[in-house]
Amino acid sequence: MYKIIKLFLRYLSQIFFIFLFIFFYYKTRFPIPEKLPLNFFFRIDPLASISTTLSTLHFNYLLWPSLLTILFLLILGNFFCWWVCPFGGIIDLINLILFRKKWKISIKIPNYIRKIRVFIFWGLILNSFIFIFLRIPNFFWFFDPYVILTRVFLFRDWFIIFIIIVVINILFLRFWCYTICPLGYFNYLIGVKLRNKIMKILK
Amino acid sequence: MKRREFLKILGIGSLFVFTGSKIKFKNKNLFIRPPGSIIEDDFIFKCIRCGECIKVCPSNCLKPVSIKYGLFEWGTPHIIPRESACLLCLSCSKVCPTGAIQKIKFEDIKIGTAKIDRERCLVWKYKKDCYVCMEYCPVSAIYKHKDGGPEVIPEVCKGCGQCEKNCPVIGESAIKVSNEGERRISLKKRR
Repeated sequence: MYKIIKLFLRYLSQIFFIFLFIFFYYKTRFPIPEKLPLNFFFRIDPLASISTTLSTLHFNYLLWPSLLTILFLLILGNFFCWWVCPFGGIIDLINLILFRKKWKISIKIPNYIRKIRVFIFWGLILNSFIFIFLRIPNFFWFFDPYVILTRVFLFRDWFIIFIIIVVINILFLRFWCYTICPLGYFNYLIGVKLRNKIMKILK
Repeated sequence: MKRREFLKILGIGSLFVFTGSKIKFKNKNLFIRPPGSIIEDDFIFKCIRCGECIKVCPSNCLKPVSIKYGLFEWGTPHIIPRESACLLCLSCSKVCPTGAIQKIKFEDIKIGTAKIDRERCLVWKYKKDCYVCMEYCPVSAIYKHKDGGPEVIPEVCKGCGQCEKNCPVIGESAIKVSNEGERRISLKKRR
């Protein structure tokens, strides 16, 4: 019973954040409503702040909400991917609408494929940092779920990429999140690994 | 993490960096960036290509840079004045999440400078009574020269591109905006 309630609440939260994302996206037009934080999802993105800070050696005050995200990850665990992320939410809801469970197509993702996101994440971090000396282009934006979601509505090419991601996610459960998403891996590192270590020390 | 895993990650990470370093950095700085943009070297790394500025632009003048111009600039916003001109509304600076486009005052806007091509201009070349650029300029940076043709005051021109967009000459415009003399914001730190 507890699990069902939790699942129900999670879907509610995901729907809320998807609508929030769409609402902010819709409101991002001229004239701008001054009071609405239209770039909320980018500002709470810790990967955006790490990547831009490392590659320019300058922390922008606009990105301070991302520090709050890290703090909440430490307190609550990896809630972000499952309760907040609109990209994960869309994937989950599509699976729910298509009755993915009834189809019984649950192809397990092998562990070595899951490691791709580890390489992507560390590659991006290293890339951002080393860039200062070598002048390497930063491809962080290519893997950021919010950037993809925003660009999906703007450009046709990105819409096709999004459709491909969604289709793959129907075949493999949350393929994007488990295999590619560097933000998901960062959340896992902070919200699970680091949190567990801190909890152990505290105990 | 096991030692073997760590070494694997380190190896692939360094491969990533090595291939990246082979890509030559060509900062040609040819693009007309939105008003309030920070200096080009930092801009391409502060910009996360989220597309918020492109979405909010009321005149639809901001376009993402095509991949053919290079990997560095790919996806960053720029203005193509012939297609659509900037309204100088500064909406893009209000939505930029990373501060690649910063909030500035209207007086500080300077994204480029217009220049008249006298060989193509209807007034200069064919002595026609055109002056469309003069009429469209929002800051009155174009005046009537004593010889009859329109002329730009570079100090007053903000580079919005209204003149280029509305120039009636077919094909290439007789007045072109480049990023020459643009005013960019420095992050006050040096590497």
